[in-house]
Amino acid sequence: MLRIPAVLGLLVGASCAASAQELTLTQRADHNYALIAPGSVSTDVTIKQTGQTNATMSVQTGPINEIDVDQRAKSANTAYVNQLGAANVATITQQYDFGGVPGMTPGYSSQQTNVGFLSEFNSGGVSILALTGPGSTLIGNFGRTH
Amino acid sequence: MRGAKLLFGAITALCALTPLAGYAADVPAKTAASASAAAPEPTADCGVYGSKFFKLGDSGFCGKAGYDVMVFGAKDFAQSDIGLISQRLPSFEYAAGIPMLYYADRSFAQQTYYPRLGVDAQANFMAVRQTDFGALVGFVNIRAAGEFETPQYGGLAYEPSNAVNGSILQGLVDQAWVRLGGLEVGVQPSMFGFARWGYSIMPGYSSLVNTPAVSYTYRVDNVAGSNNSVSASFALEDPSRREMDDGVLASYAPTRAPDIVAQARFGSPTVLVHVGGALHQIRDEAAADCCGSPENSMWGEAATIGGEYRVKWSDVFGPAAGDTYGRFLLQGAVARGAIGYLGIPFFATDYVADADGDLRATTGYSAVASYEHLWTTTLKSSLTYSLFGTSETSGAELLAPDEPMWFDVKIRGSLLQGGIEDMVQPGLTIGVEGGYTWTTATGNYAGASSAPLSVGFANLAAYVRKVF
Repeated sequence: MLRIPAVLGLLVGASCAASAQELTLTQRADHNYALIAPGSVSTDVTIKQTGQTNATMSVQTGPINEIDVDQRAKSANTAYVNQLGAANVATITQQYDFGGVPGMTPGYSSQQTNVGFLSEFNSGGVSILALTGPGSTLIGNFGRTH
Repeated sequence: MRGAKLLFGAITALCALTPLAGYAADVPAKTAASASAAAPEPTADCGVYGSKFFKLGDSGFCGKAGYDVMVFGAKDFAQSDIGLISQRLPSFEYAAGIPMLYYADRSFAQQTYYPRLGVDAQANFMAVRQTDFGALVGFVNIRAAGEFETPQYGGLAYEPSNAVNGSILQGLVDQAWVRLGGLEVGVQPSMFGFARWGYSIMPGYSSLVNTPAVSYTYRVDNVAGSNNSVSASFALEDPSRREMDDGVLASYAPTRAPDIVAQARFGSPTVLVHVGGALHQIRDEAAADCCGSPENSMWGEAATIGGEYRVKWSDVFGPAAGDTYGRFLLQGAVARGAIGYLGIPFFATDYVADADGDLRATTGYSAVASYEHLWTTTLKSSLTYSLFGTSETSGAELLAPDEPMWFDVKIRGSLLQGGIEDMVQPGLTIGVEGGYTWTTATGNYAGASSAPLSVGFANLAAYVRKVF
């Protein structure tokens, strides 16, 4: 008896997820960190991480939340998923015996996507990615003036 | 302090009136303002203060006015530089977010494409008279320093380089103080800074800041019958002139205690030694609102030591050295939670407020070594080497259960400058100066090393200065 509503809920969620904003993110450093907190909008996020260690932390609070985490690591895959919506779908795939790309050139990029504000830092063996919602992004810039 | 362009120009007025500064700056020592110097009689001729002093009516004051103008052209060859990006990542535990600091290559090709033309003009007036409580001195120096830039929309715009906390007016009032005996009130040179930032025209990594302050200097001349002098000073200074915050990792609360600054100096005809220290209160509001952390306040600290030595080379090498002179300057500073005292570019905030509100002080150092050689009475050259380093870290915070994150970003830099200056006629000097800057950033994130990022670029400047 309990299984039927759960399946129905999943079907409804999967159906509604088609209207959620979609975004696919990829990380390939030795150590990958992804933080997903897009706020209270419906989102459909795909994370692909390949490295020595991978970590994804996600909190989705929209009406319809979907996340697909695909992690391939040498030693550790971590996925922390929290979904607080009417319909929630999470798929997590974790595999081992993979490695990342060491020695990435230092670089920082940021952009406003249809899902939220996306920032990404890649340098050496580290990749840190953050997807944040409106009003929860605080960024500063400083350095030498010219 | 933050984001301010470094002043290019003349330093004469800046260092003319600090305790014992007359030694280093080739200006009359503050005999009239000395706490213990022999006081001239009230009716004495104004010439006792210097050849340019004149009587101010029947007020009993003597006055002196001066002004100088420097015009310069400069070319910055930097195509890119290290940029710092601060950010707070979402935290499942704390609303303030997890502090992060990234570094990346930032292009400045557009800003440095054209040579710059700039001006640094100063006008000052001093009034002095003797009282029963010592010399009463008033001094004001108005300064306009800036560059003409070519904005994106075309044309030519004047960009002030001495605005203070975004205020052009505050920058315009370079100094304005009154001194009675050893007590001095107003906008004055900080007691932390040494006489100068090296013998270069462009600043080395050394802090020379004018700041609203109340200070007291006790000075003793002719120590033990010699030509030596010693002084000790204590000051309460405006902390906002020193703050290095970005509003993300660090954000100062509006009210806090003044900086507590002290210095001691020893001067002889050939040597000047300076030691100084400062306490700088931090009251954070970047993360204090979120968590009720008990640690949203702390004291930063800074210390400095410097020395200058003058030499007549014929005293060392004999007549073969001719009538040439030289002087050496060596100065260093360290800071913890008070990076603004290092006199370096804005490559680190004073502290980092963790997500839980705890504060972590940034540490750093700077040093300057400089030599100036006087080839003739009108021709001189200088060579200056400066370096600095900062280390900025955050505490370990949990991105998720069992997933800690922190950063440790270090910036190292150095600057080599060489210049030559000739006084073509009394009061009129021309000069040229070149420099090369190296800077490297390294980082560590949750124990994983990021790639180092290094930049290097040259700069060149030529100037004409007229002192009236």
